[in-house]
Amino acid sequence: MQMNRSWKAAILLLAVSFLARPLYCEDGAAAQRWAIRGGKIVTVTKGAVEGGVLLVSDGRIEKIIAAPASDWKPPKGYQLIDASGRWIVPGFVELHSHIAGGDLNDMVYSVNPGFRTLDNIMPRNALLKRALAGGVTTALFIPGSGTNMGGFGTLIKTAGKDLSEMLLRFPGALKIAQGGNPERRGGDLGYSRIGMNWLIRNALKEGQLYTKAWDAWEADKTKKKPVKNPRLEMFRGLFHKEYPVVVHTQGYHLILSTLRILHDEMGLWVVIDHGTFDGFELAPEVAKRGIQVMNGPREFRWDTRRGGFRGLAYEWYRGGIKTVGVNTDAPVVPAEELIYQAAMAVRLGLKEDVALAGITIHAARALGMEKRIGSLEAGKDADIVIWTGDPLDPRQSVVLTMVNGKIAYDTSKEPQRF
Amino acid sequence: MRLKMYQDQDNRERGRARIVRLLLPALLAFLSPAVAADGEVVAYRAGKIIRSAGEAAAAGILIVRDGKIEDVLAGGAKIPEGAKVVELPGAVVLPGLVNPLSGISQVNFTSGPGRASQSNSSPSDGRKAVGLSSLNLKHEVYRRLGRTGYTTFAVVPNDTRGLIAGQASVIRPALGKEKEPGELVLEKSAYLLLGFSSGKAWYDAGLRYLKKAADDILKEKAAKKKAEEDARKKAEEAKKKASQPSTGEKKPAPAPPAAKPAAAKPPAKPKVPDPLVQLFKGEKKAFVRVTSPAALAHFFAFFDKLPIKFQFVLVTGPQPPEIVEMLIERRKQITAVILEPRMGRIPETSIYVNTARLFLRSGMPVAFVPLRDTIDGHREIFFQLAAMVKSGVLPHEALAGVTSVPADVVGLGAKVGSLKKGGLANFACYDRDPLSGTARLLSVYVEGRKVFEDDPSTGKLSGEAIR
Repeated sequence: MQMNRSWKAAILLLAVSFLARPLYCEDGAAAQRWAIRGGKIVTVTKGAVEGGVLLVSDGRIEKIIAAPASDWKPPKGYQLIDASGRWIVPGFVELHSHIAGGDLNDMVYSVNPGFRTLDNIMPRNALLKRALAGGVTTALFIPGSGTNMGGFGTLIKTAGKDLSEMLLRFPGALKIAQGGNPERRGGDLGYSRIGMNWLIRNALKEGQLYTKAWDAWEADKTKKKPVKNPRLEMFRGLFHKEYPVVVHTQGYHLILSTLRILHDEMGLWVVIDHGTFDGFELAPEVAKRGIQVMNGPREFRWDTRRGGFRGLAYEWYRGGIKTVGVNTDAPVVPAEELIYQAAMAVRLGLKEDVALAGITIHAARALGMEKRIGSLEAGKDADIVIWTGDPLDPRQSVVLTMVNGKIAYDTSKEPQRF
Repeated sequence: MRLKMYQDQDNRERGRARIVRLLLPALLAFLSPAVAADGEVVAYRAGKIIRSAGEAAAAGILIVRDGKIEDVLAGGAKIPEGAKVVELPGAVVLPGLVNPLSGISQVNFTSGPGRASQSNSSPSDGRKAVGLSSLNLKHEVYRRLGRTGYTTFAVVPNDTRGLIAGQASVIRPALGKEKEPGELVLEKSAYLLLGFSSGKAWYDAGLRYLKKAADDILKEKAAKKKAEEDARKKAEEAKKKASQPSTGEKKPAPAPPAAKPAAAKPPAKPKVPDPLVQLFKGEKKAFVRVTSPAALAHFFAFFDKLPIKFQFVLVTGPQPPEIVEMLIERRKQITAVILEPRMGRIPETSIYVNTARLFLRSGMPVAFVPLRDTIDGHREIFFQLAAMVKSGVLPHEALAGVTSVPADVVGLGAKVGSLKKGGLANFACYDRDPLSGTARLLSVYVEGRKVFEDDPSTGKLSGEAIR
């Protein structure tokens, strides 16, 4: 009897240890080279590969082997990650996030082009860890919408031991809030749309003149060297279209102002960052200008005119924004729920592949980062997420998240966070 | 200038209102139910019917007569002669969903009285308030209820944040032709909703209302017992006297004076029973909404003081594991738990807990109410439930949580919450497994009448199929 029991215990122990085995060999934790095998590799840009192998080295995707031989073995120096039955998906790109650090709304002045979020970043904070568990590997960390011009945001990876590892680009984008939050209730300037539009235009005009003055100096067209003004310095990249302006703008009325002032008049690289309510009615105008729309965090609207619920991302798509994406405005909607936002858009009309592209490659392209992130292609950053199944199904979860080729979240070694 | 802007806005809104008014009859005509004639038998044939949570989806035929399910047949079975056949191709048919606690009919806001984690405001006594009395049929919301997949709502009275919040009425969505709110009602007083918060005011008020009601019942019982005892003693004495031998002749008793003709009294009004008294007598169901761990501690300290205990359904928010354990120990008193489908967090940590899973694993039935007590909140229910499934709730438990369990806790399990003989023909059709998160609601039937068909504005007017 005793013998039996001990045998049972031994078998149980073996079974448990087998089930709890990590996806990869232990000594590979520090390795920089991975071979992710099996499952369905969703490249986003080049279709899906079933049962292929994805090689990662030095933080980049080395190549995808679509049909490995049956006796294929990882090359020397590569650690094998067994992803049989899983989905391998690029890390998601969130263009509207406030979770990398706090204190993002300084509301003394109405326009703050000198502000930057770079100094507020708190690497490895709990919310970023949750974002990783939702498959989000890149986030545009922007100031709040308490003022018309909150400052410049930072494009970061959601994992990294310190800021140098996390930083993807600074400035990531300028944050402008066209209206619908920055209204001040004290009766001072900025109470009304007419006042707010003046504030935005005035600040941008100042930046434009500053940029022109420096351009002239650098092209030897003037002998008068402009005076350096730290408050206006980041406008130079903005007007040179090195980075876009992401605009908190929603509803027909506000988006019309965005198109007129920011795009048509100032000639800026514009990304519409909420686009909710009846904003989609302007989709043909927005599409004509080649402006990207990241709809959210509201994903649907009860249409009082025609009746019925409208999926907003789908309406943008239908109106001509074929690259539409969604956002969370985290923590308004938790960062890890970005994929829920996309799933909701699918339920309300958007096609699955469009929804997935909207939070990967199209989001990356909106910031000019499509050569580095947003899809699983050779040469791109190894931001790879292994899911239990189709990420658009809310019952599925992330088992492993890799950022820049390093494992940042792994449910075989830590509790499932989402 | 600003004034002008607002005028423009007003004009635009007025214009919109006019369009809505013009379009509404057309919309209603579109949504108007195909009413089966009295006695007509309709056979709904679907590829996948889930009769009740826990059963596998299988091809089947629902035979419906006069709004009730006359029979549920297997997919290949012969349809009774003369029955009108309605095909539901490609649909996954579920029992109409049941919300056991909602205030949707009065307040269409996210902080409406129907939220499970709604905090209670003041320890007032609203025992006479009935959900039915808050209904206003002029409000369009009753017709829109059906477009959510829900077909049964237990509606609590408008002011439901007191100690005795009132009685819930169970209603169905409006079909558009009702004249009286009563026509929607399946059960006028399904249960009494109580609320409790932490603090002395609540504790004192609890003693003042609930303990007093229980004490009164006990006093009444004791008085009745005493009266019975006295009567018995009296009868015994009389018997004793009667058996003693008489010592002399007694004068005959004088004839009683002729009774005056009694004035015709109006018939006494039937006394409305006190729901609290009914509760302590076990004649009325109780829901108790207590949200925070502190309020739960205060509530049970008070509850244990009651001379008569009652069973209740606990309505609460996400709780940490140790609180769930405490509640599970109260299994004798708590018959089921109503939760919102969301994760809880252990205080001072970033550890998330699925409270529903903890309750379910201990064998406690769990019903779910939507995160937001609005039409769109109800439409989102399967999305929210899918996230629960991700973190450990089994799919059939999630489904039961919005069908059979809430039907049982409001006492209408025989009529709603599953598709069975004799039950109401309330069902919702989805285009795929509703827990997939991307499933679309195709149509909804209430008592055999179609109250909703895929959204006409996004589904049909677009000119292209939305899957």
